[in-house]
Amino acid sequence: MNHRWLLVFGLSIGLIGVPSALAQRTLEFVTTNLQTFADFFNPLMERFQKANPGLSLKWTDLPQNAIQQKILAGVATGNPPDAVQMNSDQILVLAQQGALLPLNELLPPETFKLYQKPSLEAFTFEGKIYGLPDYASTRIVAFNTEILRKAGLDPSNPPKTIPGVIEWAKTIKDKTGIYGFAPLISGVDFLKTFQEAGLPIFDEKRRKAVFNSPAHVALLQQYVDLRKKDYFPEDVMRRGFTAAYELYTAGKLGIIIIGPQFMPRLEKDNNAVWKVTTVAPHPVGAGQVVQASTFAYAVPKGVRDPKAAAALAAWLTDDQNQLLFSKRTETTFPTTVKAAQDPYFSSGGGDLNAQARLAAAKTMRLGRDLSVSVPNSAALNKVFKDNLEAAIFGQKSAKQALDDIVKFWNANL
Amino acid sequence: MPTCEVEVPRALRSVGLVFLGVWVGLGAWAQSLPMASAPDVYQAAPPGAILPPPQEARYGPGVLGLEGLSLQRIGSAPELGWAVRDLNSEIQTRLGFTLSSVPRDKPLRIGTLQDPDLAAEAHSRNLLPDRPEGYGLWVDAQGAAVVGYDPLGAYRGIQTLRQLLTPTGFRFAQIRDWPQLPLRMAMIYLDKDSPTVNNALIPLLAKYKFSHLLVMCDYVQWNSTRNLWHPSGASRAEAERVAQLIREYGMEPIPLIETLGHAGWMFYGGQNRDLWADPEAQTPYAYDPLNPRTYQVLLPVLSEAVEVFRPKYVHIGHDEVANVNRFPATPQGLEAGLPKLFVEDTLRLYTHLKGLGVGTMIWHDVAFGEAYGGQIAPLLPKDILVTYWNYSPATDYPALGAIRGQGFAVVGSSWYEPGNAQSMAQAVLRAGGVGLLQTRWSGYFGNLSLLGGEARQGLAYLGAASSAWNPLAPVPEDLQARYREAWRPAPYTPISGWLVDLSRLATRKLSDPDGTGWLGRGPDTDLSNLPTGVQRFGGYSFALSRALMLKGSRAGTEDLPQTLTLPLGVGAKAIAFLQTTGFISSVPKDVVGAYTFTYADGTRLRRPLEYGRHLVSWTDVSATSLELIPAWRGKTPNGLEVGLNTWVWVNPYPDKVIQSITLESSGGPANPVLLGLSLLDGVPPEAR
Repeated sequence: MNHRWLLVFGLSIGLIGVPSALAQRTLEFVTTNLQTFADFFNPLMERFQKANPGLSLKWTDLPQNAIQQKILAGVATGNPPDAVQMNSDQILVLAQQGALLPLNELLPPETFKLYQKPSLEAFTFEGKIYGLPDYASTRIVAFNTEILRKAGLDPSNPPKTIPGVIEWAKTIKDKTGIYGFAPLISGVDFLKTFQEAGLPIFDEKRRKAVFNSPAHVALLQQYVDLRKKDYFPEDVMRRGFTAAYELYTAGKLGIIIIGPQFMPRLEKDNNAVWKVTTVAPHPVGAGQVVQASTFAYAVPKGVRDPKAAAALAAWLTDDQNQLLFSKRTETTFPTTVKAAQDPYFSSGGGDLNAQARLAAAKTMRLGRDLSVSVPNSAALNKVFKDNLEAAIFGQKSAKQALDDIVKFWNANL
Repeated sequence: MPTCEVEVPRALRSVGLVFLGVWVGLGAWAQSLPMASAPDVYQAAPPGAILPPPQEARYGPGVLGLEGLSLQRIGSAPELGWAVRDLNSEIQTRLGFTLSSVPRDKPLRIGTLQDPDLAAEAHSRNLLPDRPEGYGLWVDAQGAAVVGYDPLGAYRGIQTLRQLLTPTGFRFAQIRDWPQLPLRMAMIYLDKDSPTVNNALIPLLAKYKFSHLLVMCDYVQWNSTRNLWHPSGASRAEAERVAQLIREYGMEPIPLIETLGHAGWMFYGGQNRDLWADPEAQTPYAYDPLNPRTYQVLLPVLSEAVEVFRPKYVHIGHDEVANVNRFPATPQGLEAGLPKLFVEDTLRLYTHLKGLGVGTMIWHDVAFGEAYGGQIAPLLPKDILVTYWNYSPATDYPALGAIRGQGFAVVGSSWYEPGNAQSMAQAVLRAGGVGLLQTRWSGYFGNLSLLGGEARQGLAYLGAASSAWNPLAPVPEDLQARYREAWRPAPYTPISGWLVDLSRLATRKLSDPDGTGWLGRGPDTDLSNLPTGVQRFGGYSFALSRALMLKGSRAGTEDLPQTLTLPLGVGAKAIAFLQTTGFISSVPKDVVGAYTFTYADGTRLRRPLEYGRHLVSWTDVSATSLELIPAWRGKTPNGLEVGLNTWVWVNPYPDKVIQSITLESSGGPANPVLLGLSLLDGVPPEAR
């Protein structure tokens, strides 16, 4: 271990205490769906290696649905990657499965002060921090202006509320036969819909789930009715955003709720659709919050040197690296207090990708990762998903579905 | 066994005792728990209903005894021989003998309409089968007969007769039956554990009248792809053996080789890097259909699969092509566009298979999806068999009708969610589809998981079998018990033993009227609907009153004892524990506690309790392991479905007296709860 390595990590020797045997080894970090950013990660690894002779970094990028398996397999075989980037739902599930190390015990308290509090809270369960936030992305709304015009809608005056988006979506389907929108309500995403609409998930003491009130039932019923009349494709209940993006990319969807970081990808995947796309901020509902998907680096249980792995996670997510990364993506936002204040993130207005960043920036102050942390989240979330689908696909009434979820949750909270 | 009588607990007196015995304490062990003997602490029982439910059936009160019954096969078709094999296997397992073919007092005839006498008799009884795979069946005091419309019909009928077997003979019945869907398919896997699993699974699936098996073959060690052999893949010889086994159990094999997407097998070990569809991807997923070398790898594999399986169809996948990496991703691919690449690749494989005399099956989601279906489906040959998949129960699946409307034959595919297979089968029937495919997704090398963590997927086979044969009939409710029993069928011989009264050591009531009982969640969320007294659940009897709940980390369980010692002072060959946990554990293989068995000679044996394997939460009624025996299923007062399971421990020292059993909790969220304990004088086969 040499001091330059420690300097890069920005931590004190005493706290890390990495044995010298590690000086010749490779640390592996894993990212989620960032393979197109090799031009960011390759220089990042070079910087690391230049500053830490004898140490090297290995970067692996995996699809989102392969990450958890990679960690569990690594933990089982005693050879997990050192730092893994995941979203809050994944980190919570793995933490509850005992597959992640709490970082409070591995890093000094001042490290955590670098991050915005709401971002850090998304990775905190029962007082323990399991992830260091890396970047956040607030949803925006993208419109295919060709489809809008065919439906007689004015792209320059997009709706400013979710009910307004739904009305446009219905008009598009009625007038063109093309789906107007593909709501992100699969699985536990509907819990985010409740929160954006200002409806509570728990009672004040957080002891009981309360999302079966008449207002909650009415909101779910609205989507049940929309599906019944085929106003959104059934595929989004199975494949969520993947299905929505596929449709939008194929020019078969009028409106998509999307993270701004997908605009550069759309530019590559179907340039013709990208060229006719316009964007707007995500409508803000009564909850005065907007879902901001946040990714963070976690440290799996069983890494060879937990403190070095935690230090790597801290370095990957420090001010400088978050700033560089989000500037490279042009569409995501840093989660450290300092980097988030960079004026770049409130600028925009050039091409569509810059407009998307600006649209996201307009609601970023209301951005929260709305994932709900509960004990035994894998089991509770599955019951939520099963019952939600039962309601959407007509197997249960909306009230019965929400009542059944609440019963199960309250027996297990 | 000492015979010191003690008072019968009130809870147990309040119900009629179903056994002859006395509640005793043990003189030698003054503090031993009270217990009572019973001649049938364990008693395997025949299934309550036929699975799949027959279309027309009447059952009588009598039983045809097996004494003097001879088994007569009328005809030479191999299916009739398989029927005799399966029936005798059932009788051997349950009752310990087989039926002779030497003519005796009463005949049990198996044949088809080819036999004029059988046909005439079926006609006179209004049990004449009139369509493929259909059969007529009758059992009365004079004998029994199964008459198939064709040899397969006779084979299917024998599977019904097997389920009419009781400890004293065959139940009287008159049945006329046929499948509503001609294609009833289940998905199985070829991997290194194939013999262990498939040797039992294939007969099980035949018993429940599946007609086809879709065999996942991605990692078979083909002769043509020696550079792609995965150490956990099945050999080609095993593939040949499985194909033969499937046929000998009255089903047809269809190999599944995933192509275009999900094609990781083509790249195993770093091979074929030049064929990646997305050169920038970090892990391969789809192949490049614009590279001619792709087909130099692919087509020989398809040819070999045809040679091995001799199938009517090969399923070539073609689902979720763009789900993982970008597709298309290269400039040439983007220029062509996904629809053109998809169509040309499909046609290439289709033409190759057609040249071998074999049909093509594909998944629906890309070819008929909203995004590209309009550009792809019209260009595909209409004799491609389309498998539509949707794994959520629903009132309807309109896409089935849409695919059918475009001129394609369609199969509906389901997975393990309760209700999925039935709603899919009903929709297939309405849409004029040809069948139901029950999928299983347990990893390419996960065969053994069918016995453990993915038992729920195995259980789903049974529900699908029910609905594929008879979509409109209710699915029998005891699928979990049946599935478990199907792997380890038990003789109909009772095992005696002792029921232990645990009430003296109980730490919690089953009810929770004031928030201080069961788990402290109040009267809506308790176990008050569990019947108490002597109860039989899933073959095992228990004396039930209250719960021995131990300490956990969740609110309401922190003040409970960490350990409890149960004084016994008796010997037992096996012990049945009716147990659960207060809360769920999220940790895989979480050791939530342990039993320590202390023998009278001072020796001890400790058995850790693993969540999901030996016990699960009372709010988890899914199948998680074959070691767990489904016991009671019920609801909380507010309607939440809950349940309890039995776990049986086999005593490795059956000649030693067990002085006591100590139950301990690890103190985590999933705190152990013991509700019933019974000592067995023998070891049930299912526990061996």
